Amino acid sequence: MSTLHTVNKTAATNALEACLRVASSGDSLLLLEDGVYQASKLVQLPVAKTLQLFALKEDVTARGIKLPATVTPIDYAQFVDLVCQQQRSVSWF
Amino acid sequence: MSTTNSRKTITFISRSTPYGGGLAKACLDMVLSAAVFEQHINLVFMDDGVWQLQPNQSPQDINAKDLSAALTALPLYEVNNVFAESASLSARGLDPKALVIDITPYSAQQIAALIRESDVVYQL
Amino acid sequence: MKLTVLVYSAPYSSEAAYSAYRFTASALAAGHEIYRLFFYYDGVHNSNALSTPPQDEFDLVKAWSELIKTHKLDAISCVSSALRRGILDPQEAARYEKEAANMGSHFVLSGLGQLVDANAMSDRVMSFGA
Repeated sequence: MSTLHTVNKTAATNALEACLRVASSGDSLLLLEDGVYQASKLVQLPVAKTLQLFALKEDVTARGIKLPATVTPIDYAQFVDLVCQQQRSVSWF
Repeated sequence: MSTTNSRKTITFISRSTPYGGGLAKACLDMVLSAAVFEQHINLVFMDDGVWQLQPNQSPQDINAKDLSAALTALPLYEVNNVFAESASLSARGLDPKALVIDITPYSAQQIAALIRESDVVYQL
Repeated sequence: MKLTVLVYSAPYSSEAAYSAYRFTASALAAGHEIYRLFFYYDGVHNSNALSTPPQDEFDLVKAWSELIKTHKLDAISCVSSALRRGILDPQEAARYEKEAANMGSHFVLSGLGQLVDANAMSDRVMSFGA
């Protein structure tokens, strides 16, 4: 019965910060598009340890960045699975 | 559309300012449409969205319609679950008791609980 | 599952519309039903048939049209968002006495009631915006 949150922006907006304020322990968080740039910063936050962290692999590869080990890269097919497994999705932008 | 067994709880998280862009009005239009179809609605103002609640808005000279006036119609549509994040209000110097409409101040934890009770959540 | 996809963003102005397209295509490939595609706010620009990107760039508007046609998807552009952004079907162009219509023929102009219906009838709603 948990929630999938998606964040597609860098820290230039406070989309991730807003998301983290109202995410519940055990929720999933998918970084996609420019959101993948926040992966390294995200894993250092205490709240990140309460969430399942994912990043869209195509967007990571596009940007040439390296994901921290605790962020699971997934493709679009797995993104669809995640949406179906979670009870609801919230897109933060 | 049958509404008998398809009444869902929809939570709208409104994070945009009233006049600098169109998302605040777009959100309100979604809220009112859902209300007309008798869905159970929660409306939460967070971050810059709380600026929609600022009293004394007067946008005539920027050729814009008064969004705060539109908010006063929410009770007429039976949208009574209207919340604003307390931290967002205080960060912007807004007094929860002196806003353009009555809202229930909510903490981030309370908003998290609202999300958990919802079937669908929109953020814009 | 029955999925509804909501798109708030224009093609090319941000990556969100492209992400929505890839998500929709993947959902269909996995055998899910796309109950409705709802283009709202700037998302209505995804239904502008006059979009003409350079030959060596991905044509997202054409890709949407082909996906919608192939899978017979219910693709709605919200009428109030579309009109103010200059996306009109032939009926609206005639009604408002505009020189031309430009909405892709696989899209339908309709209202937010279609989104409310989609909420009620879908198992999941996924939004893409920027």
